Amino acid sequence: VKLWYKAWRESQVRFLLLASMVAGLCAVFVLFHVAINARIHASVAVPTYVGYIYGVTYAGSVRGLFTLLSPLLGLGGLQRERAQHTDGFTLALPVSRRALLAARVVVGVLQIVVVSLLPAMVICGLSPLVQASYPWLQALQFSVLWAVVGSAGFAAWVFASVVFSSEYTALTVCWVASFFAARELQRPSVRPLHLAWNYIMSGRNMPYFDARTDQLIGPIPIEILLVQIVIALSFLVAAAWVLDRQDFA
Amino acid sequence: MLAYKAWRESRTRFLLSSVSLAWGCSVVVLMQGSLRAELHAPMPYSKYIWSAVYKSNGLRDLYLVLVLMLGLGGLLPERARGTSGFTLALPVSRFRLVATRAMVGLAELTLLACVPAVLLPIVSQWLGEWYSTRQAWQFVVLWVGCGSVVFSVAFVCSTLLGEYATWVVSFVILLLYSALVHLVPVLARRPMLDLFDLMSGAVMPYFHDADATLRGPLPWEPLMIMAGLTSAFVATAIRITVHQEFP
Repeated sequence: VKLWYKAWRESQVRFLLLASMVAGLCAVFVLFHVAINARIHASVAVPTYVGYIYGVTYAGSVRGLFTLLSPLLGLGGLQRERAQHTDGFTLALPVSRRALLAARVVVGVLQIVVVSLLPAMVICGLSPLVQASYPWLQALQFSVLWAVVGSAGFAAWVFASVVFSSEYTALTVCWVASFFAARELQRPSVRPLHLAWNYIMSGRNMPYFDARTDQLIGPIPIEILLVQIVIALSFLVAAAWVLDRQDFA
Repeated sequence: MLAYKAWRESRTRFLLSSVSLAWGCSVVVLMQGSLRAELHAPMPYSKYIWSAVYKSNGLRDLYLVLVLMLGLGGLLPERARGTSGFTLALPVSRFRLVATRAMVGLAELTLLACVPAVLLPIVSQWLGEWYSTRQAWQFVVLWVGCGSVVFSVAFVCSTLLGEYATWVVSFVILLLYSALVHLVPVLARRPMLDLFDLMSGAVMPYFHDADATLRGPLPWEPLMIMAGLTSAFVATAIRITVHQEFP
């Protein structure tokens, strides 16, 4: 419990900032949907409230914000502590390095799950206030997609935080790698592999999404999500392996 | 010495950023055959370069994020690492500490903006294509002008917030700014206030859409406003640091 509390204290500011940004943006998009819809889609017809919510949230700014900022929860850990000269205290605790990493991962994944659920709760909760409604099932399905893909991104950044001694270097490398990987995975020739996280999260160009109704169709794409889970686990195993062999002099 | 200190603190980020941008530009040019084949409609080479490098969703966005990262650092992270006491004990004013860091950061973002301008014409020529050197350097002016504002936003945030919070907050400020310039009617009527479009030239009077080239004089007035904003943000960062308490 103490290790989890430690991991929570280290990431709480980032988590609270991210959660408030996601929830705030969703609330603004719902409460001012008439005005925003009129401004954004002045030239494009968005006939339904569901289409509007999808455009601004699940395929728009909120997804962008989540994709870019949620992996930030993966940074930190012993390398950061080394820079702050507190690694000695942490390593002196009667727990293994893997336990330290595991606590950080569990807390981080839980935070990702909570942030993934926020759009569903805010949008479905606030929509009746503006005489509109968004299907809970759709929102929760998107939450599942976001949570799994977000966890994969988080795991990649955890790995970077273990490998690189400077946080800024880890941040720069992660962001640059994400930028190029996202572009590469969205290329038409690579698309059939279904690895582009932007598409998985929004459903765009995916077999489980109907572009005419802007809704997810059929069951949750288990195979696609399993690949993301395997990617996440690979990064975490690699991070644990590196951490075990690291010298904290 | 202060400049050297600021350089040492940011050089890894700067070098990584330069390599990334150079890599991106090289890929755009070297793989132009296959990348252009995937486009829905054929386009002139200059337009392809513009859409891959200078347009939104192109390398321009990468540049902006890298510039944001160059703005991170300063005395607050040093406090967390327990080294702020040494820095503050140096026989120089806080004004000089912060101003020097700002100057080094601005110099780095300028060099970073030069990477595409140096690479694109040379690599293009190597492959038998042609991209105007003049165009590339005009974009450097636009990138530096607007990138400085982005840098200075992160710079101010870094004097107030912790490392990660600085990154999150400055990123969100940019996101909100980008939304506001499109959603608020008063701002939406003045496209020159949108620094993202100013950088790419899209929908600007000095931009020719057919071949995606800059025509006519550069928008010096908006660029001067951007320079003014940068100065104001850096001055704010200095003022905050001068009055900050470091226990």
